[in-house]
Amino acid sequence: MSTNATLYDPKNLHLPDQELLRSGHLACPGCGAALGMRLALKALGPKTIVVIPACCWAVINGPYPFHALGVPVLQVAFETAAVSAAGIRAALHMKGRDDVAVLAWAGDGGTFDIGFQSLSGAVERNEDIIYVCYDNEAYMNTGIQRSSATPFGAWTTTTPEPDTKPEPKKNIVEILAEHRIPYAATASIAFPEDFVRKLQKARSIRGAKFIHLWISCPAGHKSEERLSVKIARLAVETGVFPLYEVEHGTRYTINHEPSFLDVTHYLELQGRFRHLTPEQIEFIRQSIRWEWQRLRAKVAMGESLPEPPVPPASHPRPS
Amino acid sequence: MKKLLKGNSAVAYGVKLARAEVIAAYPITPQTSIIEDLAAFVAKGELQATFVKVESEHSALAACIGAASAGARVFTATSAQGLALMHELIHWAAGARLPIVLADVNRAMAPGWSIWTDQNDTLSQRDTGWMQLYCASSQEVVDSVVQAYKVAEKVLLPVMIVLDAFFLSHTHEVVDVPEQTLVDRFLPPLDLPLRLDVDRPGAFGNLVFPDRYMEFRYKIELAHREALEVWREVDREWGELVGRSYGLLEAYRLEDAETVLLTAGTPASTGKVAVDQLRQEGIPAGLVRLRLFRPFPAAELERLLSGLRRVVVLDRNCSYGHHGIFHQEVKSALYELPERRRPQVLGVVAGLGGRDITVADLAAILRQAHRGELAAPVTWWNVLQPEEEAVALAVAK
Amino acid sequence: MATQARLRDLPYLPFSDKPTTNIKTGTWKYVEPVYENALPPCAHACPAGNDISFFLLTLAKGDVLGAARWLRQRNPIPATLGRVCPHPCEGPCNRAWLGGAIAVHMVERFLGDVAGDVIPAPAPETGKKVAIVGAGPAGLAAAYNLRLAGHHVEVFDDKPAPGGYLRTGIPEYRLPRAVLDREVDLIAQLGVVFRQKVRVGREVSFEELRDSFDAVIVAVGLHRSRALGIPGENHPQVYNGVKLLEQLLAGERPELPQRMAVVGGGNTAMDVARSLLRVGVAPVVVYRRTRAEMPAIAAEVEDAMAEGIPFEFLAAPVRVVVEQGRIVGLACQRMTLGEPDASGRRRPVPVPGSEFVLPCGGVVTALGEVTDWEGLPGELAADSRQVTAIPGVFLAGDVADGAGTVTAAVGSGIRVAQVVDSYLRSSELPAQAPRVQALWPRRVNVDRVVEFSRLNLAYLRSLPRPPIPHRPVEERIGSFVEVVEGWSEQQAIAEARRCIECGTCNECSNCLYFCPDVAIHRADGGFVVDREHCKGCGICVEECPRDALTLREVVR
Repeated sequence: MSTNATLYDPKNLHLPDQELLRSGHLACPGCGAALGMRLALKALGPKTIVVIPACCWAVINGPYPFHALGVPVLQVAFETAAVSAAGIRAALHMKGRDDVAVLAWAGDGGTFDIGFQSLSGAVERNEDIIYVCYDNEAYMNTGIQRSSATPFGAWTTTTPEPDTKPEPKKNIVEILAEHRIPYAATASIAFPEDFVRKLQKARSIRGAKFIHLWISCPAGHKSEERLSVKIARLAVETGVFPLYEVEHGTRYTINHEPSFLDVTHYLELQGRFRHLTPEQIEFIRQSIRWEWQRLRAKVAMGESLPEPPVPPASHPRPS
Repeated sequence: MKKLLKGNSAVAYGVKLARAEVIAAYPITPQTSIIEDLAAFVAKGELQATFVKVESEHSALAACIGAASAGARVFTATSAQGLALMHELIHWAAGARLPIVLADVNRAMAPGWSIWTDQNDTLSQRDTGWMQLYCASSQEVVDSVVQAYKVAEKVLLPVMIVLDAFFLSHTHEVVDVPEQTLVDRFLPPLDLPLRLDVDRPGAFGNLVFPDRYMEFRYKIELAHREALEVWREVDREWGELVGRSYGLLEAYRLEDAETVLLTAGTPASTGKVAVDQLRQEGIPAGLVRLRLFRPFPAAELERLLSGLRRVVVLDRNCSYGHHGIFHQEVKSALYELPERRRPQVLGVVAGLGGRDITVADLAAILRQAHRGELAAPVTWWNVLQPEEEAVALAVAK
Repeated sequence: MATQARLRDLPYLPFSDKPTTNIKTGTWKYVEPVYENALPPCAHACPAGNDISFFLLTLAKGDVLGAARWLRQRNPIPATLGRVCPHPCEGPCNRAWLGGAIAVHMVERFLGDVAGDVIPAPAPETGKKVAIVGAGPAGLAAAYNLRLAGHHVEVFDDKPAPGGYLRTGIPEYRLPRAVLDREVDLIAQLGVVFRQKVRVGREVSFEELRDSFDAVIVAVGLHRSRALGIPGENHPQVYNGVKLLEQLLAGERPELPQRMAVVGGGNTAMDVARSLLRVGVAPVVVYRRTRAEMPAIAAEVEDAMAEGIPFEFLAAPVRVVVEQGRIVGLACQRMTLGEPDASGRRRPVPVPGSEFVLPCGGVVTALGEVTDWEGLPGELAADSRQVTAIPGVFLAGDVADGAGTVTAAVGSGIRVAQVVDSYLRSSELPAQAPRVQALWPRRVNVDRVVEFSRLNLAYLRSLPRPPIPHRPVEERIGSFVEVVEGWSEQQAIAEARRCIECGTCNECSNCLYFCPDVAIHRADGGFVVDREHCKGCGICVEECPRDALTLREVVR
């Protein structure tokens, strides 16, 4: 070997080596949620307890007596991911195990809709949990029904043509930012290093942390299985799904400046958007532009504000 | 140590003595002072616990399920609407075999809004796999909370401790609060056999196919059967320790009784006064207080009631379209007796929505039952009747 | 999950701790990923079939010796080719879209220059003997590969030293003699016997070769020049370009006119003009078409122009102008471009009344060469396998297919060696001409060429191509010193790392990390698919930046 050359590193991605997801789980081929969980456990390691409400992962984990993860899992009722995690955290705290991370891993239905109350409650109380919403933008586990995370114009079984979804997607990160959550961020399976970094950062913070993970779903998006990562990348590069972080509801950081490819590159790979008219696509384009303007305004607002006041020691921010 | 405590405070003391580690609760009248007392205990450091001040009862039980799954001793309390909101998770806690202790202050279900007592809220949960214990005094409450943790953690089933709204929850009496050292000897820390443990990773609650689900449900049933014996044993052991035992059922003046009142909760205390009155009138009356409702103490009940002439079951609840729930349960338990040993079982529905049940009420019921004047199978007591019946009654009088 | 299990053996609640690896989800798939090397466009275009992406990968890892060895597995003269090849690999190089094509020739040259134990060991002796006529690039390639296959090889060549056109036709400023000598020496070290100054038909007859050897390969190249065909071309100061170049490159310095017209547009014309410049003559290149149609290597034309050599385009000579026994000029006619001819280039058409005289004292013709068949049994022809009608007689190089570059000649030599080896072992000839790429030690699907559209650009950034170091013009035109300077090891490795590795797995590990089923694992020097669990989603194939995976239908 030449001694003059630096070490050859062909890797595009530098990720932790540990594998805590086992093969043989029941996810559909090309499932973004499976990839998401694999990355999450690489980031968090074996001292993690995962809470899974009703969602695709409740099935993916395998039927009794099988288990797809190398960490403990508590499956819970649909609405209760955040508060069940809070309960676990309370128990761990009483047992002196603050070194164990508690990860609530819920779909968009269990986060945006039926689970919203318990999420809001847990965040308001600043429970020390990491909550990841893996978002495939509909109730996929029950067969592709609309949720408040379903984007404008998407086909689902409960928004069939011509009644495709008229409302825009609910902005969950912004809602939680207004709770003054210590840390909230978006992430994508096509940007694994960014997702891993955000999880490891979340783990190091005491208090409530939320990550909104965009995932592909070939079955529900009506896309080719092999394109799952590509479509997730296009969601980011077209500006549909910005990658950013917000700390204490005020400090915004945009993590990736997209190339703003025309949104049709993203839409045309998914059958759920096949029926969109040119006017609807133009509306989507304008919405992307407008949302980015709003996001940049928030970045500027955050930069213009001083640090928020710190509560006195007698009433510290609970942990 | 003797203290003047209302039922709610007795609950809080019981939980403190049991050293609950995680409390998650949401306020609802008339449970509120339970959780206020506990919040004060925690804030003052008298109880080492984490109190999760959740945003709904559904979340309260969810937090308990989470914490219990991680091996902590937990507690929650609620009433009526709150218990109903928890219903999905009531099923869950039993299916998950978690030794959760929940205090329910029996309160009538809305609409219309009612904060007063009746038993429909807890009895609506009877099919979920939880154990249920109905208390009649503050002393019994504090003793039963401690006993409940021990039984629950042995058989791995959750348990409801039930107390009447206001009549028990807010009525003061002198209570002998046991010493902490004594309770520590009686109730060791929880060591849950299967729990969330990073050193032994497994999944709780995965999909179970039809070829195996029924076995896990059968195990719940078997645990209930075991629980009958465990309740007896724990109650006896507690009796040896503090001098107070309650049994699964309380029998009052049952020797040579002909007409027996059977009920649960504070009406039983009132009932004892009525029985004494009737005995003075020469009527051989007696009373059975149902304490443990789930698992149902059928064998004890059969033994106590076999051969009696008649039993009047007083329900402060109703399963609409049929009878009062205790009435149905007792009848079905006695059905196994040979016909000649089987008493007549009459039902009375009374006191819904907190309507008072007085000594006079119970005495009248017993008298009428004894004379064969009580309509079969069920009488709705002290309530406005449809016009025709009111006229007929007036005529009959 | 049979109901025959005992109740007490079940836990008291459904606690699941058996790994899902027990569930063989591999049965779900109907297509599955396969790690299959594809053909990068560079190797597809390389006439010598160099395994370019792999030697670049080996070098990228820092294994200089390994890369040099890999290159020399079949290629006998990489130091030469790196200097003289017109690098058709770089045209279709996919990196061209992302910062500039890889300067493959510079890396090849660097690796060719690497000293050390770079030659493979020959296979055990077979006892067979092969005669090769011609020690040019085709002959050298055939000799090298047949010797490596374990046969006894003798090369017969009429020049004083081996190399053929490499020695007689390529100036030192492009190919230093020391470099050529070393490459020939390495071939001789293998055991190849060179019989120089032996012409078939003079010192030995063709029949003797056929009798004494088990196979004969004719690789005599193109050494007979075409004539000008104009009045005055027999004047002594009308020189044959190939012969004049041979003299100059042998170190001779004949007396030459001050100003000379060099007629032709190919490499010989460029080599002659630039060599004349270096010996003090002022050359003018005369070509009947335009620059775009010149067959010479573009870089050579650029270098010639950079050196200040004037070009007269669209001019065809009609007459050598002689006055008092001395050439005073070359009369030319202006041409214009008409319809394309057989070569596909637009035919030059004379413009009437446009004659002019280009002043010069001498003319050099460099109009292209044809085969000199003297001494051989007539004009031999071969099929696509390079097999002639005479049993045991084969052709290689320009004489076989006239491809016209040194690299093509080398490729021809490699292919004929494969055919002859098969003939010598089994007396059978292959049905089809072998593809050199199919002869690589590593398996490649030679029918799958990696087009740019098959790359995943999300993982590729634009990386600029470094400049090719040229000696400054003032320094170089006074002598035959090498014009293009070589790269250091660091520079070569850096360039190797710019290679995308089309169709060649370089363990970037995208496939491993993006598999939702954790069904790809590291194995010796690569990856393996866990077929028991792979569901055939194809994400690995899609996210491979370089098309080193393909999907194929599952056969059950």
